[in-house]
Amino acid sequence: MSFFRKKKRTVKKPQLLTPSKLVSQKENTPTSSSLTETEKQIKDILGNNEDLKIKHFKIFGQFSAACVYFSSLVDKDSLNKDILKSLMYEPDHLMGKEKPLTQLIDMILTETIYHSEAKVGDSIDQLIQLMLRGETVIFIDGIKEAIHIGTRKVEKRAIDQPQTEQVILGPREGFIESIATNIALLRYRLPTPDFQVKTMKIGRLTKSTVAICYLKGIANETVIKEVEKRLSEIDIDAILDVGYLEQFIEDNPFSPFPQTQSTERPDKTVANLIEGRVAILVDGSPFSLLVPVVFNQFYQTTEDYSSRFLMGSFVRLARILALVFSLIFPSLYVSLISFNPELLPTEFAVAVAGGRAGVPYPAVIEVLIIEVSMEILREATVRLPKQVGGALSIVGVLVIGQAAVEAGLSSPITVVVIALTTIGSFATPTYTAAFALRMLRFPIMILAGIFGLYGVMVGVIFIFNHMLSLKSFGVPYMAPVSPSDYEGMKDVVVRSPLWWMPKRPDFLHPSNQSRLSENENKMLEHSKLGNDQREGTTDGGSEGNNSTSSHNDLN
Amino acid sequence: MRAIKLLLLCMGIVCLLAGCWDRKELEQMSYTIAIGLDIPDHIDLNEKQAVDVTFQFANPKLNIKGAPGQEEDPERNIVTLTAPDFVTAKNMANSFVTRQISFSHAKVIVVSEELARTDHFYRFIGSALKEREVRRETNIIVTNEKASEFIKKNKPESQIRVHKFYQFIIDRSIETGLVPESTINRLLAITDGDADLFLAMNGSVGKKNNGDTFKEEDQYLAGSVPKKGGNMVQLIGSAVFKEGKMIGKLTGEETRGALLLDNTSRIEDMYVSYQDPLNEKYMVACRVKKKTATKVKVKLRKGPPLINVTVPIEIEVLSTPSMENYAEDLAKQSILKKKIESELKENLVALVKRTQEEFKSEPFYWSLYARPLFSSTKEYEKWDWTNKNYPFATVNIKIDVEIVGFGKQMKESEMEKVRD
Repeated sequence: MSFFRKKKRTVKKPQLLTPSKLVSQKENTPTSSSLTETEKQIKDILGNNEDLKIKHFKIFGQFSAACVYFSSLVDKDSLNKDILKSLMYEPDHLMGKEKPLTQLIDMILTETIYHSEAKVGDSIDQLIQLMLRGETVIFIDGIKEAIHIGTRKVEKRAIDQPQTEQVILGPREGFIESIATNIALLRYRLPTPDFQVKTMKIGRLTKSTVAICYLKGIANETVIKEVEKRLSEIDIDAILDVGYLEQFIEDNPFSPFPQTQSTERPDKTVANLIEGRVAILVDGSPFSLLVPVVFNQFYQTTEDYSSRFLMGSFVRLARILALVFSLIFPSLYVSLISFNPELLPTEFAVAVAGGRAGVPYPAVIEVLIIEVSMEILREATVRLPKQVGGALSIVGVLVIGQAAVEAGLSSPITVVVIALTTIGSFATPTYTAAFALRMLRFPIMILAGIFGLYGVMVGVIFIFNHMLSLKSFGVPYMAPVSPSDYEGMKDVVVRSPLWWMPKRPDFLHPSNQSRLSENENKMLEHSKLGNDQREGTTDGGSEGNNSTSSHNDLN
Repeated sequence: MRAIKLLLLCMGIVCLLAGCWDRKELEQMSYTIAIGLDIPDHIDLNEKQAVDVTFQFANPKLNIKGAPGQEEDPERNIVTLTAPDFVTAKNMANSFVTRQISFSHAKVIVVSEELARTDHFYRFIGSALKEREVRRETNIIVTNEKASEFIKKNKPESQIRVHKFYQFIIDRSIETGLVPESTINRLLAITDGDADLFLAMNGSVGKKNNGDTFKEEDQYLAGSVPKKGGNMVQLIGSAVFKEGKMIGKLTGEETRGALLLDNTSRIEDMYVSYQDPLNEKYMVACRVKKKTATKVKVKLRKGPPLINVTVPIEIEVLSTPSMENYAEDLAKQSILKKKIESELKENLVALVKRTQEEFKSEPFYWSLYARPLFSSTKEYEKWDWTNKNYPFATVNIKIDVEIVGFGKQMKESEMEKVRD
C-alpha cells in the first residue's frame, strides 16, 4: 500500500515531466564513462529534436567517440575542418607516442584540436545547456569528462544604419540583435582597459545575456552598484528586449516620461559612457539602455556634437521649439479661439471666424476629433506594409484633411495647427520622450477647452512640477537646469563649442570630471597662427611664436 | 482606492464648477471695427443723455463650399442706433444683429466735430475707460461731418477690407506725420494730466473731385486735399482738444510741426518741399527725419519761464527741379541748409505762437520737462503750467539741419548742354 501511495503522489505533483525539469533533476550528475549510456541520457532529454545530431567516429582511429551538437546552431565548416579532421587523423608529432586513456583529453586539448574555445566539462546538465547554446560536445568512450567546443554560429543580420535615429552627419552604424557584435561595436570605439563589461543571465526561459557596460573611473560607483542591484532583483521567465528591463529598473513607473534612454546607436552609447552613464545591453535587442538620464538629453543628438557649434545650436533651438509646439500648440489654439480672440490679430480672427462658420462643434471638440484621427492615421502608417504605406499615407493625410474641411468637420486652420503639431513631435530625436509629450497634449487640450489659457498654464505647471520631482538613479530629471550646474548649462539650450566645455556634467557625479586636458586652450589662437604663416617671416614679432607652436601642433 | 476615487471626484467637481462654460466661440461674435459717435438729431443733450452710435462690423469671408461669395454690404455691416451710451448700444443692437457684439478688435472711434466740441464728449469717451473690451490703443478720429456719414462713405480700395483699411491708413498717416497718433490712452493721460493739448486725427469726407485750391503739400485741412477719384474719406491734420473738449484744428503742416517738437511721437517718413533758394520759381523736395530726440529745456525764472528747444533734423534731398547742383557744391549746400533752417523755424515759431495765443496751451507734451523742476506735485499744480505760464513763456527754437544725402544719382543733368 505504502508503495502505491507514494507513487501516486509523485505522479500527481508534476503534471508533465518537461525536458527542462529532467535537466534540472540531473543537476551536477556527472557524465558516465560509458558512451552508450551517455548517449541514452541525452536522447531521453533531447531525442525528439530533429536537429540534434550524434556522430560516431574514432579518435586517432582507435578510441571510439561521439560528437553531439545541434545542426541548426553550429558552424559545420569549422566542425568538419578544425575538429573532426584533426581528431580522426593522427597527427605526425603524436605518431608512435603512447596514448593512455587518462591523458587523452589533455593531449587532445593541447596538442591536437585546432580550436581556441575547447574546454572540459563533466556534468550532464551543464553540457546540455552548452549544447543548447550551440557548442559541440565530444564524448569519448571510457572517459568520464567530455570536451565542449564553442562552434556556435547563428545567422545574424549585417550592421545597418539605425532606422529610428538617423543622422545626416555622423557614423552610420547601428546595433544589431547579437550582443557579441554590439559589445564589439563598443569596444572598437573604446580601446581602453577602463571599459568594463559585466554580464549576467536574466530570464528563466530565455536566459538572456545582459551586459552592464561602463567606464571605470568615470561612471559613479554608486550608480553601477544600483544598476546591478536592480537588475539582479528581476525574476521573470522571458527578457525579449531591453524594454523589459527598462520597466523593471525605472524609478517611477507611472510617469509618462521615460527615465531611461534606449538608443540604437553605438556612437551615442559611447558618448554617454564617456559622460559617466551606464549602458545595459541585452542579447537579442538592438537597443542599449542608458541610465541615469536627464530630460535635456532627449532632444540632443550625436549630430549636435559632430557638426559645428553654431549649426548644432541652431538645430537644437529648432528642436526645442518643436518640442514645445508638440505639447501646447493645439491647446493654445483652442484657448485663443474660444476664450481670448482679442489676442489674435484682427485679420486672423476674421479669417478663423470665416473658416469656422460651417463647423458645428466648439473648437475643443473639433481639435480633439482631428487629433484623434491623426493618432489613428499615425499608428496605422507604422503598421502598413512598405509597398502600400506611401500611397496610403498620402490618401490618409491629404484626402482626409481636405475632405474634413469640405465636409464642415473642421476649419482649414485647425488642420494646419494639427499638421504642425504632428510634424513637430517627430523633430524630437527620442521617440519615447516625444511620445510622452504627445500623450500629455490631450489632457492639456481638455483643460484648455474648459478653462482657457488659465487651464493651459495650470497644465504646464503640473507637468513641470512632475518633471522636477522625477529622479533617475538619483539624478534629478531636470538637471542641469534645476538644480543648476554651470558646466551642464553650457549644453542645454545651445551647444557650446567643445573647447569651452572642459568638464563633464557634474549632475552625473562622475568620478573623473576633466574632459579636456589641463593645458591651456589654444583653439582661439589658430587663426592668428595661420595669418603669421601666410605673412611670412618678415613679421618679426610673431615669428618666434609661429615656429614653436606650429612645429609641435602641426607636425 | 478610496483616495483615488475622491481625487477624481474632486477634479470632476472643479472642472464642472470652475470651468468657463459660458464662453463664446470666435465665430459667435461680431467684431466691431469702427465705433461712431454723433449727437442725436432731436434730443437736447443738456436734458437727456443720448448718443447716436454707429457700428461697423467686420464681415468674415465664409469659407464653405457652396455658400455665395459675400460682398461687403454697407447696409448690413453698418448700423446706427440711438442709445444712452455706446456700451449699452451693444445690447440694443442685438435686437437686429445676430451675434454678440465685441469691441475687442475695434480700431477706431469716430467722433463728429459737433459732438467733440461739446462738454459731453469726454463723458461718452469715458465709458471706454470702464469697458473691458475697448483697447486703450484704439485711435480717435474727429470728423468734420457726422461720424455715421464718415463710416458709410468710407469705401477702401478693392481687396482691402475695413479693418485693414483703418490699420494701414492710420499707421501710414502717422509715419508721414500728417496726422498725430491719437489713442484713447493718450487722450485720457493728457486730459487727466491737465496740462497739455491732445491732438486727434482729423478726418473728413471730401468731394469726389476736389481741386480748386492749391497750396504746399501739407498745408491742408481734412476734406480739402485736391484730388480726383479714390476713396472719398481722407485723414489729414488734427483736432485740438483742451481738457477733453475740442477747441480748434491744425493743418497737416502744423501737425507735422507739432510732432517734430513732441518727443513722444513716432514720425518717420516726412516728405516736404521747400522753396529753392537759388531759383525761387522751383521747390526742393526733401525727406525730413528727426535725427535724435528734440532737446527741450525749461528754465524757471521770475515770471514766465524760458523754453529752449533744439530740433536736430536730417534732410535727404530727393529732387531739385531747378537743376542746381547741390551735391557737389558746398557753398550751395550751406545756402540750402540756411534756407531750410529758416523756413522750418519760421513755421515752428508761428505754430508755437498760435498755440500760445489761440489755445493757451501746447500740444507738444512739454509739461513733461516742466514737472521735474518742482519738488512736489502740489507746487507744480500751484505754479499752473497751462494757464499762467506757457502762454507767456519765451520760446527759443533752434533748428539743426544736416544734409545727409542727395538721392540715388547725385549729379544733376546739365540742362544748358542738353538744350544745345
